[in-house]
Amino acid sequence: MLRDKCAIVGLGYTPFSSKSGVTTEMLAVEACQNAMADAGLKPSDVDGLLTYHMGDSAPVQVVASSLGIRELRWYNEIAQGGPGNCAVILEAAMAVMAGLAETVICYRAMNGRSGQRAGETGAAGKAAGEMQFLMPYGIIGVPVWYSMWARHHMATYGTTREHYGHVAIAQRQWAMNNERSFNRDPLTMDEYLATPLIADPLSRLDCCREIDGGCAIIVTSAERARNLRQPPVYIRGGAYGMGPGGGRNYEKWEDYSQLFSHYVGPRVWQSAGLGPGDMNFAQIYDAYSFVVVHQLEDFGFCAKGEGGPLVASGVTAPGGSLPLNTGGGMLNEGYLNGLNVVAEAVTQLRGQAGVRQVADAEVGLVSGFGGPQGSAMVLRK
Amino acid sequence: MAPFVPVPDILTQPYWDGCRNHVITVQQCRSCGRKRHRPAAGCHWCGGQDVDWVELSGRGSLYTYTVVHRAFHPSLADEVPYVVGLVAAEEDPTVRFHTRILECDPADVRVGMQLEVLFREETDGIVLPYWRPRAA
Repeated sequence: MLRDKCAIVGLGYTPFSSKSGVTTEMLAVEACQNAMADAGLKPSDVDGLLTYHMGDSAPVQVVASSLGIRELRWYNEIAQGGPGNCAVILEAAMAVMAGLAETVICYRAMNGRSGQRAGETGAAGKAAGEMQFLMPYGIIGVPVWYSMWARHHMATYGTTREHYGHVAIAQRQWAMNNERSFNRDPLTMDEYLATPLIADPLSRLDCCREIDGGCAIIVTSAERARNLRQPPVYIRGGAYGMGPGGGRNYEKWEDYSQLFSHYVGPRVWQSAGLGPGDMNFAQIYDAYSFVVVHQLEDFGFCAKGEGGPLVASGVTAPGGSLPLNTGGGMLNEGYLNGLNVVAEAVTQLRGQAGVRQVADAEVGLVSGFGGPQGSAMVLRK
Repeated sequence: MAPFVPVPDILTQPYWDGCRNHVITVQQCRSCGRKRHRPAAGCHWCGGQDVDWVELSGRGSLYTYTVVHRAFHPSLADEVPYVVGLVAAEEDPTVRFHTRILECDPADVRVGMQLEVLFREETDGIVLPYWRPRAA
């Protein structure tokens, strides 16, 4: 059982930019070094290394070498995108609990803007494999696939563009107090609705910003965590997995309005021994505005179909009862594949979020989205 | 003309062969009898691995769609806005096909609208199925 046996003790970033000018290995090393400095650890104190990527980052062994980790006892690479954000933390905890490693750095490093852009998946190469059923029809670029998931929810539950707009607007309010955010100006509903569509119902204001950058998070045992520099953030519970049909077989995904969270949600609450009403905040993977609405429903913050009205009520904005994506989320801070979503939860639970600090933040939910597959965890101080 | 032509493989060749004959064919699991698309090594309902290839009527309804406004490939620059969607087969709505919806004004597309298949030859040997609105 995961419950509070491991903790997050280190957090490091590189600058986020549109053009890093360095390699993904260099980004990874910088983020990991910053996380070690934050935790008060040296390379010789680290014996595990873990990342996740989509073929767009340096091999973990190369990064370990460049960090000067002389004896690496455990390492791995998870071959996936969004769900990897909580998965790496949970996998690291598993390795620590199994005694395979004592202290594991989890990182994500990508030149997601100047290099390989996730959003343009399917715009190059051959229409082979899964793409033979998509590319010939101009189903190219992730927003094109995903917009169909939003449309299904709108047709089924009466969700509107304005509902999704409220996600973007509330998160922009949070982003105004985040120095890493690219978007710091207020956003109005008129501006949201007037922005040209990319793929109906999504405009650029519904899509996360692609960036270059790195982030690293260090996991160790609760016992060791108590003697380190930062206040420990405990891994209370977690779950990940995939619903039936699932995977990249989007034709076989049974119900487009039910994301991974429909399946993972009940298991994360069971793992944590807590429920949605216990959360002081939620950091919900927001590659797109609409996936926040759908996840809120699946995780039980409201009934199915009521996620749009919930967000429109203002509860997720600063001052509301459900602070959500308190750094502005990836819509504003940028797409670091969700490790920055985890990092914001850690920052809040340490009480280090400055002017955007959620008062009395003791426990929160984090999620990692990939459509029918995904991950989630509950962190506490 | 499609921006890319499909590259069949050993798993999907029967589907594209069916298209060349202007029929939609799908795998049907010999263990549980469920039909599926896209072709796969095993049945996502029961794990069965033996299949028959069966023909569908080519009628269906629109499960979801989008109107694409930004061309993510230069060859699509003159096509936008265009409609793509996921079509649920009349025989079993869990059997679905991604496609481009033709002969449909973007303003008129609706979830649930009735559709029929339409085959078009793209290049030698490759015939792509598209779908279009069908009179009630």
